[in-house]
Amino acid sequence: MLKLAWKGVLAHKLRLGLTAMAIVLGVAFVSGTFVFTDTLDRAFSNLFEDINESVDVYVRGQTDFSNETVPIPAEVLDTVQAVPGIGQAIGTVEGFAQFIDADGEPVGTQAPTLGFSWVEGAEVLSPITIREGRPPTAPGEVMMDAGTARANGFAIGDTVGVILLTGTEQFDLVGLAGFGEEDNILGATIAIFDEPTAFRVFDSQDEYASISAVGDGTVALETLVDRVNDVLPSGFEAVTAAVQSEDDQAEFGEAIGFLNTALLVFAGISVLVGGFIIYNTFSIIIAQRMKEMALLRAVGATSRQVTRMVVIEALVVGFIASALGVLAGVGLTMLIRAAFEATGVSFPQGPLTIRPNTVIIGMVVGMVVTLFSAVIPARQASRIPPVAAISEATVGGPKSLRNRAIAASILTGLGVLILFLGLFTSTGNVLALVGLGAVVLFFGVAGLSPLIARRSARIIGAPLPRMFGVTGTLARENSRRRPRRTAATASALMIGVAVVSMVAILASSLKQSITEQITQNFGTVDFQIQSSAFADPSLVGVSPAVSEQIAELPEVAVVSPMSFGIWKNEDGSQRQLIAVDPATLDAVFRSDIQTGSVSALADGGVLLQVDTAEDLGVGTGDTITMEFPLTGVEQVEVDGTFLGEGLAAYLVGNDFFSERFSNKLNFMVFVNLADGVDPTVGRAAVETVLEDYPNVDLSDQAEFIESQKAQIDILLVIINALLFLAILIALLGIANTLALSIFERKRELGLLRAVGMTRRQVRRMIRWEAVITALYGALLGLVLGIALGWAVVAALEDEGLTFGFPYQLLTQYVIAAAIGGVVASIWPSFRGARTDVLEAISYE
Amino acid sequence: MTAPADAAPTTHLAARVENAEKIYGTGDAAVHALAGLSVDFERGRFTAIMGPSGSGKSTLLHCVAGLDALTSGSVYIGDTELGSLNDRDLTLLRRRKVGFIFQAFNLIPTLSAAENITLPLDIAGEDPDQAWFDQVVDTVGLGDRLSHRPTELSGGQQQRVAAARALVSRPEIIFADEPSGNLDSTSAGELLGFMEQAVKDLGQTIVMVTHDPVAASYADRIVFLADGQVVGELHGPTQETVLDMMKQLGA
Repeated sequence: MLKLAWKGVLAHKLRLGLTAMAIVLGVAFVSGTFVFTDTLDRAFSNLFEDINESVDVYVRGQTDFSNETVPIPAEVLDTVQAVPGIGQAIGTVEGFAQFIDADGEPVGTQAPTLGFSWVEGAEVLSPITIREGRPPTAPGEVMMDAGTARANGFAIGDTVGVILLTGTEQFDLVGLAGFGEEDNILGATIAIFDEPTAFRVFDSQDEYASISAVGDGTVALETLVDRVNDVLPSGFEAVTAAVQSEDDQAEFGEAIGFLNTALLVFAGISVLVGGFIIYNTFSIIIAQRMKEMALLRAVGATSRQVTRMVVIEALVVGFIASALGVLAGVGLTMLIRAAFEATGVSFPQGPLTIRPNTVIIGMVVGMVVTLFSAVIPARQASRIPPVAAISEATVGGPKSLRNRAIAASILTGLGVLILFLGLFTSTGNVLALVGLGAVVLFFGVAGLSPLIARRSARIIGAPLPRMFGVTGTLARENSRRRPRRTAATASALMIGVAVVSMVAILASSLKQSITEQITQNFGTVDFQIQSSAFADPSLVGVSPAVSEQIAELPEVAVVSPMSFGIWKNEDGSQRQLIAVDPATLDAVFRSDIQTGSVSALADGGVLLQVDTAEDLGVGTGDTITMEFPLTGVEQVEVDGTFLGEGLAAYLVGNDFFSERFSNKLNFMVFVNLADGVDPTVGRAAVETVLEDYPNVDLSDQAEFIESQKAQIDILLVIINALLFLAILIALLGIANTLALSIFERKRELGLLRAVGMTRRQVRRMIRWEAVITALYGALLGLVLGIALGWAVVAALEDEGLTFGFPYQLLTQYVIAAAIGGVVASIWPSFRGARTDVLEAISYE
Repeated sequence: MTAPADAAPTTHLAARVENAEKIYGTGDAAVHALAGLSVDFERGRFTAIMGPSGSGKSTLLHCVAGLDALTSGSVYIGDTELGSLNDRDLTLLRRRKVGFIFQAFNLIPTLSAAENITLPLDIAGEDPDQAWFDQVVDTVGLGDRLSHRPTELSGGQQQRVAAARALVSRPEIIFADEPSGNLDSTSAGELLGFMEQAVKDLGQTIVMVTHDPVAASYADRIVFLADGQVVGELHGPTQETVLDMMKQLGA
């Protein structure tokens, strides 16, 4: 059997090869994801070890929040320095600093823009290394990371503008630096100032972000750390460099883990689609090899042996395809890395990390999917009666279709049930249930699809006979003659289109909701200012100096800055809050206060949205438990409840915020002009102030809505790019099925050519068969996608989401599917048209 | 009993072949399927081509019908020389001027009998002459089966549909390759009878390749091939004269 199976694979190389492509692509995505994230992980782990290795002791503030820094009072440095056994100790100040290039554009719009301080003797202890020139020793001097300098054409001696919390200032570039071995990390820019300047511009007077120290060699490391811990005030701790590296790594690992999971979801969709293709192809190939299988049975092979042979063939194909897929994944990662580097985002150097796990997972995924997909066709093969070797009797009657319909209906119902559970009840992990429900639903609908395929193809292909005469009729009829095959082929595209449509609906709904919210609740706002970078709000934002300067303009009546923060509730899960200016909030935001008051926020406390208050079972005057980065766990009084959507469910005052969070940047600033001021004049005045801050954007209300929508569009593009591979695999499946059908219909094609059908007409016939199949899959996917999208929106209605229907986009998707069908048909149609007429009509 | 082969033809030629050579392969392995063969096919006549396997009869049929190209020599259908035509023109020629009846797999399974009959016309985008269509359908006796798919027809009925298709477009010439080969003797007799009737009553020209003496006896004239050349002819054949000729040639 093994030999037969191997021979079988060799004999049908081409056909199985096309099938294998689907698995190769899916596995490539999976393994590529792992290689990418593993490489990043390892590179950063090396980096962290590298930069921490010269330090013996780190002193840091204690906090549960991984990316927050608790400020250390400067006295602590003296205390640490005084500890016996400590050789040298330095403190480092950190904060926000963004360069402006020669054209006045901000540098580093997609990555963090970091600033550090420098003191004498820091060479030993600082992670910063000096590449060229010298470090800053006086106010007015700055050092820049070499990568940024190179990418933007800065040289030592230049005067550079830097956007800071306190405003934009000019500095002399005196040196170029690196971070460990690297000239730059992931595109983040680094600005280094002398200590007095750093204290001032990072709004961190006499406070350090961290203290690092080396021992003088007289004391063991453990003992040294203990000694330092003994003298530290509470809220601060000393750790070894190893521990610090681990913690840095863990923090990074969290972010990477999230990215890994997200990418794997998309890879999973590709693999799922690939599975459909495999199933379909094996079914067709088995049907075509019916005589061969029947012969085996006739000469004495048992059903089980025939099944086993097919399974082994599948495993062989799966093995080869998975191996190729893993290799392709590695290649894909190299491509992605090169693409990033070309856009200036440099990765820590080093070889790609290919862990054995990656290879194993890739191989297992590929082989398991191939195996599962080939199981049903293998069973079909075993049921071929030996007599089929001699006669042309057809196998597989309408009875099996009934059973299939029942099973598929059950699956569909099950899928809907799971979706309902996930979306509308609070059982279990919402995302997992929705994902599972969707997958089960896909299988169910795919199973029911053959029942409606014939009728649907007739309707979709209705205009063809009129357009192309008998060529059109044949195209339509060919897509109907094997409903199971058409349905299976179309199902792969159905999944892709369903997901893409659902995402489009969610995006459109989001845009709709945001537009409504902004129009309703920010209706009185004249202008809004926020960072032009599309990044984590804790890393980018508007310098507080901006609000101060704008407030001084005579044309401006109200300036209301807001900040963004992440806090933790009692069970440790993260929540969002927005800090507002209590005095000016109501001028810009329609909070619709129900109980309590906004002004109470000036003394501390929190405002809750009505629904949230209900969920928590609290009202004005009660307290809730909140954990903040700088102060830890607190009982916070509820100052009131409000209805207005568009900010967050939790609002606090700006003063309250600055005591508890280390982020000093504003998230958004709202500006209202004074009565009677001409909007154009007012805008010009504000823009003059903003000339020093090219890293932020000014929008009026319409522009504000557009910029929010644009951000969603960017997300949409990224998601669609990740789903593209699944669509590609689905189209490959259409091409594959078509090619196999052409092979089957050789005689017919020969006959058509003999009675006078030109090659062009044959191509047209095949092309439109592909288009019908593609459109069928797309329309089915559209219906599913709309249903799913609607369900998700309905579930999130409480959160303020309203349904938005992207007519134009969805129409474009359907048209794209039709075009995809045309493209998929190119190769099969040319092959079909070139059918050797003589060979086809000869009868042996 | 045989009319002189070089008598001046009283009817125009539907097709003719001059010095046809068809060689497969090269050098020592070369096979001369047709070795300098010349033959005429008169209009309005039923001609059969007979010969043992390897005699070149199928090759001749394919080349005259425009399905294959000669290595040297020329083929004419009517006044058109086939060697000068490209694939597209050949295809158009097959559509309009040539009809086919194969031994099997004659019909498109997704089309009804009626649609199969009008297939070449539909490909050309033309409507059939309804009176002619009815007459042809009547001749082959398929009036009550027109809406059926090929899987719903018997072997004999399928071949009759193929014959009707060949007749409906009124081609200059119909080529049949063992049309009755797969049929039982009753159906075979019916089919061959229709073909004969088409020639006599409708003036159609038919060239049939066969190895079956019974089938050949329906023809007006039989051309005998061996080793890629014409080795004999028979006019107005009967089963006995055919068998005699075959014995003579086989000796």
